[in-house]
Amino acid sequence: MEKIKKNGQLYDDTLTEEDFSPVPDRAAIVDQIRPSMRYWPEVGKRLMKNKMAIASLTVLAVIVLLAIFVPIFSPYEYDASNFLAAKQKPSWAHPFGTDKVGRDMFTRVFVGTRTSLLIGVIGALIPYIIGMTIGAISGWVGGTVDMVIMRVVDVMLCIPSMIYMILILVVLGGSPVSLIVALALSGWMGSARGFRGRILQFKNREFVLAAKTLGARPGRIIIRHILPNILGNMAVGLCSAIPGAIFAEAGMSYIGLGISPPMTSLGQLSTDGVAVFMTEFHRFFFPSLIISLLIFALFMFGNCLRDALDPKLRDEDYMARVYRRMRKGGRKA
Amino acid sequence: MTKYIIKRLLISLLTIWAVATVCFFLLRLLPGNPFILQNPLDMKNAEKMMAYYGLDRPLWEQYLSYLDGLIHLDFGYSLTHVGRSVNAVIAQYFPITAQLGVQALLLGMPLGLLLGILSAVRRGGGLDYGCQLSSVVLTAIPSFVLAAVMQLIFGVYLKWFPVSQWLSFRHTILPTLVLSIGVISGHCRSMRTLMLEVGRQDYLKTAKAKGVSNVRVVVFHQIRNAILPMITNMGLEIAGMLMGSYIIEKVFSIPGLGAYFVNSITGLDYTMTLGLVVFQAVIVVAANFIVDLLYGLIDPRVRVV
Amino acid sequence: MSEHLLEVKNLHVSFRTVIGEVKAVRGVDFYLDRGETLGLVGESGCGKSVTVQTVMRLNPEPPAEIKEGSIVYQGVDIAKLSDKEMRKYRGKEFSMIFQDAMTSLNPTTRIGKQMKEMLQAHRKVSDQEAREICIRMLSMVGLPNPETVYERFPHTMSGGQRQRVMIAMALSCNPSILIADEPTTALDVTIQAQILEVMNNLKRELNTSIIFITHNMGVVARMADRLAVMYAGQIIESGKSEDIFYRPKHPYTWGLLGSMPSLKGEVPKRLLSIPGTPPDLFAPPKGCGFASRCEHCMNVCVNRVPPEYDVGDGHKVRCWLLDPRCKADVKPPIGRDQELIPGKEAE
Repeated sequence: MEKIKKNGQLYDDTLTEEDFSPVPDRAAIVDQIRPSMRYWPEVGKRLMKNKMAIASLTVLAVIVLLAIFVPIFSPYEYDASNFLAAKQKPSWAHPFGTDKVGRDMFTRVFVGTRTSLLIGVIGALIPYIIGMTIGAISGWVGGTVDMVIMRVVDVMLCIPSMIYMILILVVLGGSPVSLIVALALSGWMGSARGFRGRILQFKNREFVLAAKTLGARPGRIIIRHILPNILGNMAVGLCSAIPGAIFAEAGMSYIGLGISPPMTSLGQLSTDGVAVFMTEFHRFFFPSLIISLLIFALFMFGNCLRDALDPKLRDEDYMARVYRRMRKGGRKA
Repeated sequence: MTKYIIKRLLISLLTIWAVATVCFFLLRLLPGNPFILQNPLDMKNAEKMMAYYGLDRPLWEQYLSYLDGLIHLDFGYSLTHVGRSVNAVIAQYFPITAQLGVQALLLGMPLGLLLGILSAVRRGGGLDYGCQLSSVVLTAIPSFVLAAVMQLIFGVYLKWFPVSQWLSFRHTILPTLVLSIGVISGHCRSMRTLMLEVGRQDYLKTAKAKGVSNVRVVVFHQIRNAILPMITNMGLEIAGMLMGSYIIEKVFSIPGLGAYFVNSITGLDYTMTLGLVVFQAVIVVAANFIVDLLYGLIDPRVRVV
Repeated sequence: MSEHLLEVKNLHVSFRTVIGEVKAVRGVDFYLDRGETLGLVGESGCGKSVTVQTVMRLNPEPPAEIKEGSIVYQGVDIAKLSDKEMRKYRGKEFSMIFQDAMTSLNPTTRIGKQMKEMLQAHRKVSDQEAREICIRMLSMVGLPNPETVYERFPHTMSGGQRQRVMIAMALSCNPSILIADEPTTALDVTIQAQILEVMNNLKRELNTSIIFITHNMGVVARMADRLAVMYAGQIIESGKSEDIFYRPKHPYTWGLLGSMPSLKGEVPKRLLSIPGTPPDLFAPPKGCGFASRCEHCMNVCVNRVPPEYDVGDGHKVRCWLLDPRCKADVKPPIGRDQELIPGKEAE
């Protein structure tokens, strides 16, 4: 090959002959292949890096721990009235004060948190699972079955969910179990529709067809091949379904159909609080604070989980904030 | 087009019929008797009342006569409020519930869309951050708690607005605010997401490459395309808002349909419950129907010719 | 220097991201003369699109940032203009068509309205005049029934038709430079040829300069007067198309040409492939970007960026193999003078 000199001069004459010999170890200069990441550990790592996720997880953990241990170690029973100590403001003996029959609000609030959490988690999980199963059948089988199921879902969505809730609570009474049944009956349609969409989205993808060709049964294909792809979305969906269930319980309590006393829930406690918030502010404040904190932390954690699963949007948001700050700084200078 | 409308209309009617049928039999599965519930000691009276309202006839006969009423848009008579027809109750109380819902929508939808658009355009700015945070905070508080706090601040301390009742426009302001908070934050969030999504599309780059002004790119291309998918969800939303919220009505002592609804179920007032449910289903179906038609007119891609 | 219509010098463009700065374009020089077609070639992610979008100033700034360099068009350094000043150039002086014609038209707006919008942004024309101009442009790109096309929505048209619309729109303000970012990649092969022909005809008719981006050597052979081969954010070889096709000097260009099947060649040859992947532009290599994939890699390649060697007649190459001190005598595996440029066989 012809060699080039510019104006008879070398471009750079500090180079030696050594420089122009082939590299001795070609393997050493090959670009390092970026380490491949496994999906879920990577998601976890991103989650742990997010301050908001840590904060909301901490709040959730504290509330859950208090809900577990306060009722166990509290010197007061949640339903033990003590008329001598009625209507007390918060003090060391009663951190959240007492109600009008002298029950310790601190114990009651966390017994209520227990109930609400229980209803929230199970009341979100069960309709979700029912909806998933029905949605999977509808999406996978298709045809008439799909048509019939979707029509039923349409009709059921036209009936206000409150009617199912009230009907079942009227029949079964105000216990956590009946609330969960009510939630299950009124809540499955949404997730069935969503899950059906997901199945349809993946049903004809190559990897599913490949599994089918290899003779995998539908159940196995859905669980082993499709489910892992939508697990993230499901987790996020569940995170927002729990607040929904807790709110539904609170709403029923407000109507007067929730958990019946002396058993209690956050919804019932804050409903009672609203009635007396002018005179006994602490009875309004603490249950409302805990339920709002709990829901806020769940929402926030759901958001962070979504961001960790799909970091693109969050990264963009973050950079947009950086630029804004940069531009502002520039204007001042 | 006409064929499509007729088909949709038939499906709508079928849905309403299914709702009425399901609810009719569901309600009859409930144990108990509305008249015994009202006056537990007077069994004789209860039997007489059952016969009077025709509730002692076979179920299928009752069902057929109910359907017959339905076809003539007659929802029947209340079992608990003697002498009042369900139609009269709806005519009297629905306007109040609907007014609250419409006001909340009129306030919430434009405001939410505007905030969403501004958040997306000035992404990362103070407004964006504030909107995102406050929408989570405000939706994390149960509505009756939020309502109570607002009553305390604006009604009791500042005395700007009356705490409760439904007498003048001033009375409607607080409940409208509380009800619209969900609308605002929902619209703000989805509009922001959609705006950003459209912002990544190629046609936006084309628009910029044409050399038209940024305002025009945002208004003419970005907002226009982002707002279309919002319309598909509006049917259920409008229907939901028209039915209002029982909780808000209770907090502010508003004489709307909500109270009738809950009381009719707990009081086993079959006709009233059924009437209200079917009425609500009609609203949902109609709103969806209208929104779908509108969408077909607005979005050229799904235009039905 | 100012005899060129457009001259880009030592252009550095970076993107700021959460994990750091991506140095997407690292010192690019090229020029474009009136009525000429410049082909910009390279594999995906090599900085082709970023470079031309910087010329249009279409990269969102931030995250994109012009770190260094100038883009001189008719005596004005575009790199220093504000967004508002730049608007006068976009569409009027430079136009751009994009890779995916299916998504580059606004789906909810009629073709006519989108075309008219551009015309009226730059020229004071009435709706009626604008309509006439648009319809003339639409017929020039070979769309039958331009009056009906004017009223249609993008979704009612095929990819090829839409790309024609894009070309018509891009040329409606009679820009000096048309930038085509892989305009045929998303189209069927038969449609590809038609679109290329439309572009070539219009270029001759309107005397427009074209910057044509592609990774397809066959396509570029039909279009370009001159070629610039990009790799890892740098132009590693540039010159007349004939020179690049007949006498390529850079090992990467050998690879690019070798990976293209030829219809000539009686003896079935093995297609060459380039092993490895392009370097990480978060931390670009110290030396030649291609070093790690180059089978002729020398010590100096790893440590120093090669200077630009002028092989004569504007053919410039960035490769240490051309240095007189390099003893290695490397025979190019491809590009013997007798081989015809693919696609030009017919002429």
